[in-house]
Amino acid sequence: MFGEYAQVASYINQDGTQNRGGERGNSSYLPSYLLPMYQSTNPWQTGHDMSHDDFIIIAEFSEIEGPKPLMTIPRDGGSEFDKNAFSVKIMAVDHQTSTSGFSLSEDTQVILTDSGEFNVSAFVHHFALYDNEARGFVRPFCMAYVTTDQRYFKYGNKMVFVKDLEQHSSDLEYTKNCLIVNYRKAASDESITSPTDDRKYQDLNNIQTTLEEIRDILVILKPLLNDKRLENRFYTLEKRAWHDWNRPNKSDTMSLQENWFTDHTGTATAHYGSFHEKNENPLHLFDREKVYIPKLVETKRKKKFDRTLRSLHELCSWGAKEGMKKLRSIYEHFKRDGMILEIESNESCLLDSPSSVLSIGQCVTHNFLSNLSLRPADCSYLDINSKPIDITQRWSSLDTLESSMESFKSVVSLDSLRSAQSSDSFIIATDRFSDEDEMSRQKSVPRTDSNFSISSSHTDTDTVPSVYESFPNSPVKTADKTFLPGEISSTEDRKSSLSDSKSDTSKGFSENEDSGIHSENQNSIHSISVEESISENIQNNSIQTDNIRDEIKGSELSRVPSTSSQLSESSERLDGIINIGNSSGKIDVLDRSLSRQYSEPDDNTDTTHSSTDGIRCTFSPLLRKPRSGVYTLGDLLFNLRPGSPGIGIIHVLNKYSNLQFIINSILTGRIVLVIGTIKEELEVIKLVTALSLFLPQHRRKHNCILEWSSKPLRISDLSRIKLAGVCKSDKRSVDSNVKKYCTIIDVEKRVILAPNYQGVLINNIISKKKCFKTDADFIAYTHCWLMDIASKVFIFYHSFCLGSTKLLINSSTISSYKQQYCNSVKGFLTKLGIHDNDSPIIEYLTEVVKLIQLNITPNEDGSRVLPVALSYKPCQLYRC
Amino acid sequence: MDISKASRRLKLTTRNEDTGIMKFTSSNQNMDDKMFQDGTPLSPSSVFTTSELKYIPNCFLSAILYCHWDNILGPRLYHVWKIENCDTPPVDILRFLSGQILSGEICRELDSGNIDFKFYVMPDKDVVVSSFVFSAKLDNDLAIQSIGLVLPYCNLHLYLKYHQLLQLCLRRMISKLRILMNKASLSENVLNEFSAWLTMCFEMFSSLTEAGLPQQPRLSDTAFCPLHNLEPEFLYRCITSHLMTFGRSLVVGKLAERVNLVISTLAVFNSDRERACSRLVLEDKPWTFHHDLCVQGLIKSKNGAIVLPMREILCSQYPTTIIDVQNRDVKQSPYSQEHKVRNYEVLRDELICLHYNQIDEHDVICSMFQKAQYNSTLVSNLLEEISKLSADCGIRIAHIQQFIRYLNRKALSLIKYVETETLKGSIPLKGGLKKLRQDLSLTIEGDFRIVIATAEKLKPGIFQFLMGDGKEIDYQSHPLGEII
Repeated sequence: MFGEYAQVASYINQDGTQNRGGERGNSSYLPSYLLPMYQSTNPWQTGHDMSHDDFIIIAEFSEIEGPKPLMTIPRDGGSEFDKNAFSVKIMAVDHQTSTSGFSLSEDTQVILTDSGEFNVSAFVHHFALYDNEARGFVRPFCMAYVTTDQRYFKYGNKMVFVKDLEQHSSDLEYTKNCLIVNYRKAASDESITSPTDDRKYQDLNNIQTTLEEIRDILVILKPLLNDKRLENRFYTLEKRAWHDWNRPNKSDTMSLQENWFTDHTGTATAHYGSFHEKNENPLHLFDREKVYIPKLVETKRKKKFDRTLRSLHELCSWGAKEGMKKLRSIYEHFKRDGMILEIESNESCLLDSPSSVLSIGQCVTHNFLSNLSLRPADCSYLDINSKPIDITQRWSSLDTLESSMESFKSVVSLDSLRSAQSSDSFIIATDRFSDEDEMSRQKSVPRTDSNFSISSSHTDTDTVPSVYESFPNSPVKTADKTFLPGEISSTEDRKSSLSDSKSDTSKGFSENEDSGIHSENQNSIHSISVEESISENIQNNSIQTDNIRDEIKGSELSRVPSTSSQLSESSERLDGIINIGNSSGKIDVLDRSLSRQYSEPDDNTDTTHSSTDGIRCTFSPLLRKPRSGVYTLGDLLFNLRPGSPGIGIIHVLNKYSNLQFIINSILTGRIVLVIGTIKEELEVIKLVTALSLFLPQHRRKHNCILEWSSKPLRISDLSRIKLAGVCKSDKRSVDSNVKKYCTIIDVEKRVILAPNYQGVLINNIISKKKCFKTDADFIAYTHCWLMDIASKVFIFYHSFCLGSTKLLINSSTISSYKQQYCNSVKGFLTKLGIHDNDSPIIEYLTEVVKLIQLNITPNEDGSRVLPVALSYKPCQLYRC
Repeated sequence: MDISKASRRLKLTTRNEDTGIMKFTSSNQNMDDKMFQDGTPLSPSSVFTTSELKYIPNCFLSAILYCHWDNILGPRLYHVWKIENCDTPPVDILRFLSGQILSGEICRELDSGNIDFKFYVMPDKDVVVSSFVFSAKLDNDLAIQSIGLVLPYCNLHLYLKYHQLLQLCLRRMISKLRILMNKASLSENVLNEFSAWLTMCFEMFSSLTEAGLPQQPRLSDTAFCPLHNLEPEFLYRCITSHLMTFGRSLVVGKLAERVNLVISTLAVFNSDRERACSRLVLEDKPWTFHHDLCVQGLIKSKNGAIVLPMREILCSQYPTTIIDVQNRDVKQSPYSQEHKVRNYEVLRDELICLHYNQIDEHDVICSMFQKAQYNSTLVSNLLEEISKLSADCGIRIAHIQQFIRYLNRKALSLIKYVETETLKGSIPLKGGLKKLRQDLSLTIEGDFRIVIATAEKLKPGIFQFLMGDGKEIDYQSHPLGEII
């Protein structure tokens, strides 16, 4: 219909033109160039001749040749591109303002599109360097980022900042250089002038004006030489260069002129080294400068412009090196697909508050606290009818404080749980950051011992409740006493609560036949009551009640004690008991410090929209370094290389069947061992790499993934390892103790030993294995799938664990309480559409987030809480 | 109409006030209009005319330049629009800028229809210039010309938010300007007309500051807050359609409050930049529809009637969802592929009509708007999940933002899939759309369209690649196909 409209219009127009006789004749037709073109966009821009990759070009306005390109990044970038013509175009205009006298001009950034000759878009940064041999002391340079993708524009601004920095460093360094040279010159001028009287008046006059000029320049430059950070940076670089220089064959092959620079490192260092140290006092420096010998200055200062001026690297010294490095990283960042950049900028905000990031397979999946305002003032709609009391009923900053403290408390409670036992075990290891470190290992040994505890309960039932219980609106439970942490309880209250809990404990004991346990409990209660007398604040109060409660629960849950294992471990436990008082006291201190940390931002709360929690950082969105090994999806997909998590996953999924059991184990925190003979090492490593796609929260590779271990694993290794490849020797490859707690996939026999899994979530992803041809596609899809799960976890975390699930426990026994709790978890997850068999996944992921929140603020002595769940589950053998 | 209203407001008031060198010799003379055409023996290159754009309350610009490449004198500043209540940068800066803008353009092909964009950031002069270079007729000859928007450096961030929108607006205006200049050599009328367009355009930008949405969405403004009630079913339809139409919506209704509720709700699903280009309705300020605003509203007249600005809707880059809050009616303008064709046609026809002085009366038929009835499990699940979350502390908003990221990942997965299957577009999709949808679990029409709209934003052209050209059969089998 509209396609015909042009003709219709031109037909109508015939009358029109007659009416408008006075108009120009040529207005009757419409030149085609004025009409828009119908452009069908091709998403991949294939088939065009302009399909070169992006590159960075650095150009100079040479005094002799005019604009000329100096170097490109990468070295062969834009080889089919007329760089000469392009640099003429971008350098065509002088960006300096020609004011009288010497002045520093700031840089100019230009973004331009060219649809004609070059058909590219470019971001150009113009800057000037200063050179006392150059015309007007100024050498104009520019660098341009050339791309065929128009959508880079939005990123231009971000680039500005980094380039600014880069340029600034160059500038600064050179101005220093300029300064020193000028001073030398000034001094030499004087030294020459004084002894000789036969100088002509004009020469003196010349020198005088030069000196004045230099003084003016110095006045302008001096206040700018104040970037201590950069100076330090240069200084360290210089030192490093000294070391490097002594080594032969230092290969720096990055770009054209850098080699030159390396060659002169020695001289450059000798020249500038002392300068950095004595930066504050250039005159003083001059006295000490041995290298420089004053020489006669040509008084007939007719500048020769035919000689080549110093190169960029000469001009900028260390700044150039830093700058080039920056430029390369910029190039690496922006050469990627616009789509990747978009995704990355979208997701990078997830990394903002590291305390609650959930990452799976080295890729950020969700952040449970990002963009949440944890302040009562922000709590939107309730503001209208808010009363002071309400604060405790909302989950607000107070509550998160509580929750994170409760996380610590869960440790305390687990400490005291050591009174319980069964064949299933529960270990808490308070480990140093670097457990490889021998020193720290030795130190931590006793503590680890003391923290060994055994309980009959599974991880999820033990730790998840502690999250749940932390909520003020869900009553912190002792049998008949309820504490609201916001509430200030009197000493009487506390005492009564203690006695309550004591009576409660004894109730628990009455059901327990083991007297040893009884005495242990007495011990721990004793230590707690001692602590009680010391502690004054409310939080402590809740800790104690918590402690006691958990103990009760622990003893309750330990049904018929299995004597054999119990005896073997009882000595260990006794050791632990001695430490109870100390350790809980210590944690108490930690709690206080934590509470201080958390409450500090709360004290000056009234500003809304400020930060979500105390930890939130502000940093520039550009060139975000992966934070402790967590990438955004865009980053991850672009940098896929052999060894990245998930590589080879398609192959593995197609080769082995029944992998859902393995993935289930990984996603529920069960340790997975891949075993094979020495011949199969590569296959095992491949499997481990592929499966690590599903591993939650592994940040550094060595931490919880072991690609190949020729030694058999010991039970103590299990505290950190989540996924490992193990060599199968002739004898027993895996210790039977270890075997109990692990899911095993045997590459040689092709069998899987794993707990059963009947859920739907994992089957969903496995069923897609035929749909994707490359690993990257599958990884992308998997991360969608994981994100979907993560959003369920998010709801579970916020609505159930932190939320309003007011589980009123009026049942007298703990077992019914546990039952009730499990039921309510199930009920909630069913409402979310989660199958029963999938709920452990959700619960485990919630647990993972809780643990990070716990660990994000390391304890005072730098130790970390590293609970390891070794739970026994009935396993079955499957073929794979 | 608005154009005439605006042009009446605007007059070329001050002329030859800022004539650079001329200033000293002729400041006392009462110059007439012919002055700048004749030039002066002293320095014809430095003469330019000025006028003032009025009634723009919050303008982020400080001046607008119009300059061209003079074959003898090089870059030449021709006209400057000052902004009322805004400080114009000094003349020498303006002159310097015009040189900058046109630098390197001497080799430009004159008969190309492209409008190139250049963007300058000059912190030491405290200016940021966003300029458009194009060729148009001047004094019977084609010349390189340019429009430059000068803004103070402090507004850079604001500008970057508006960048996309500004591009679309100015490209459309400049296309029209070129037609006018083709008809008559540059005269006062042409400039006056262009001034009127500029005024309208920047009035719109001003309204964005006046009635814009908060940067961080507030739950209390949206329908997800328990204090407001909006039928979930209606909300579901709105959101589904909104996401399908690339996050572009027009909300109409009788009560400003209700309209704003829907606008705020939908805007949560947009990116920050898109939210900056959205506006609420104000009872006392009847702004008209402006193309390419992301979410905007219109208030119905007393008797409940409204004339939908069909033509303007089609001028937008993306299709639009039209939501009638009063009647709970959700419609969509033609979907992407067809929209693209129509968008092109409307823009072209506008130019043709301008050229032949016809007022385009052939208005677009209302029937081309389709009722949006799609199911989307993505959205229905989301709504259900939201209801489970606490309404406090931004949890709900955070969940929606996570949902958007989830959509982006889905889109990325789709793009990756298509790239592999088609070797980056060099061969057509083998299994067809049906297989793609099955493989990516996008069998439900609404889900698929939402994801593909997200993908199109990430990778422009992928929509057409999948749904366009070779895939006509699949496209037409759908209800949308019938109206073609």
